[in-house]
Amino acid sequence: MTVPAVLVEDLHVAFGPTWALQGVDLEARAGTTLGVLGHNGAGKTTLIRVLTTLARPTRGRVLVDGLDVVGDPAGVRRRIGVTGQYAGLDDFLTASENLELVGRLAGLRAAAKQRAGELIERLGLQQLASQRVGELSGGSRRRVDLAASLVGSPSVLFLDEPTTGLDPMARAGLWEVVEELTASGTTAVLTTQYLEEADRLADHIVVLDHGRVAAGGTPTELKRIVGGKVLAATVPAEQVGALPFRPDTQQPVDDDHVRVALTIDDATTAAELVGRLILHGVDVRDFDVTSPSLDDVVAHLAHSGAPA
Amino acid sequence: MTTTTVAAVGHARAGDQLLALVGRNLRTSARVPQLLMFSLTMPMAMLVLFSQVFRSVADGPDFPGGVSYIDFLTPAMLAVSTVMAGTNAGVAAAIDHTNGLHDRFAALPMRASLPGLARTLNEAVFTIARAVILGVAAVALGFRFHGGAVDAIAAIAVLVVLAAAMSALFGLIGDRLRRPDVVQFAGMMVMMPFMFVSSAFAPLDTMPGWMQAVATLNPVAHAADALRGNVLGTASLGDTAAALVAAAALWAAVAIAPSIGRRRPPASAATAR
Repeated sequence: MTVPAVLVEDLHVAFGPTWALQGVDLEARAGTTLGVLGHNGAGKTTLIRVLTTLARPTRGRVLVDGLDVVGDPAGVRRRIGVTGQYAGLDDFLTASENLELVGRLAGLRAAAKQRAGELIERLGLQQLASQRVGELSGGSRRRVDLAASLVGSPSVLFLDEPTTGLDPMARAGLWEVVEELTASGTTAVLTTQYLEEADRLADHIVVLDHGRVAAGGTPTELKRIVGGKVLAATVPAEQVGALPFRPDTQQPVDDDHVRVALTIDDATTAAELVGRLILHGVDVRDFDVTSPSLDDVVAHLAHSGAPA
Repeated sequence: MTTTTVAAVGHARAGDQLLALVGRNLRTSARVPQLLMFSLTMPMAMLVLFSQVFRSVADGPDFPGGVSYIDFLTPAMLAVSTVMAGTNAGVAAAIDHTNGLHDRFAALPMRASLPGLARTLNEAVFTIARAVILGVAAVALGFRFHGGAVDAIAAIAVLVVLAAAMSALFGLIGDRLRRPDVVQFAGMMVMMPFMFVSSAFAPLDTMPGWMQAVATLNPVAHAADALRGNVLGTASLGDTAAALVAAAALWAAVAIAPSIGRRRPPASAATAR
């Protein structure tokens, strides 16, 4: 049996009187991408900080590439790359100088310059190489930051919400780079608030909610738990009790109407449900069918009590 | 994507890493010339102003006889400007937190103390540069160095160790507060007692008793006294040793401070399983 690239068992992390993580178990097989999905405050960044030796677990066992993050943090650091929520770069150095600095700190010595050049070419950063990082756009900074996390040729790459705040073009560009990296054998652990991102990049997804694992599985399995689509309909408030199904969520739209939402298998089911609403005499003002968001996932899990 | 040569990460030598960090700091400093210029020349401006505004201090009964105020003030300004410049290290540390570099460094196979040590070495370099500029301005205002070569070497040693202590102290404040604007104000709060509860601008005998007592613990007061002795040619080995020990003690206290006061897990931790 091969050793998982990341193994977390019964991880607890406390900050003062607050539990950031409680009893988290997860693993990522070598060469795969693990997506960690959750809202702000769910514990994603704390998990990444523990995995990258930046925070100590209060209790539990955490291995990265077979090495214990508490027992051998230096060994772990030699095997990982980290891209945090904020690009860890010096604004006054150029992209190239930043990569070279990280290379020298990682122990590449004279090879640091060559490695910086390789990464600039590999990630298509030639146009940015001689520009100071402080002058770059958010998307360009993230790409340089990703390059910096690859300087040490990590076997495990941690990406903490790498596309938060980026426009769709920049996000898609970064996704391509991550896909190319994982295709070449790098293990990736990716946190995100976007289900679409986890769906696109991850082989396995773990949903964190209030510091605990709320659900886990492949994207397909998770969608099966959650439902492939979300049907949302605006109906009269007085008719909510007479609906032919029990909605996952309901939110007032105005004094007279409520927006109800339900996760379902597919668009065909949506059409059937809308038909049933009309047959039941529900005055549907409008409806739409969308792919589930993180809100839908968490709402559905809370509603159904689906186990991890 | 093109095929690349995968570089092997070796066991980094601390010396190589320290050199890389010092080079980064120097390069960054050179690219913010305004900060460099003000940091190096503000003590000179203060010397010019203070030497004129407070010159009547020299007429007081407690002022040492036969000493000009510029000779009295210049060594104090050397010590005080070293304290003031120390806040730059705090701001630099806070900036590394806000731009994510602190975490990048912490996730590399590198000793956690190296970025702070690099800032200290940079501060030592700038302290010597500041001393040269301040010395030139002081000579123009009538300052004369009355000591010998040993006094000059002792003065440089005192200044460099004081710079290291201040850089470490303000660096720790920057690491704890993590916001450059907050660090700047906190730095001023910390800086004031170091500067004024000392013999830097006026003899200690003119101050209340409690201030004189506090000054005995103040490394800046010891540095000002030792530097003044070096400048006037009256310093004893004890003066220099006291200044070095006081600054080194502060440096050591700051070095062990991060390991003090780590939070315990909540009481429910033991039963949270």
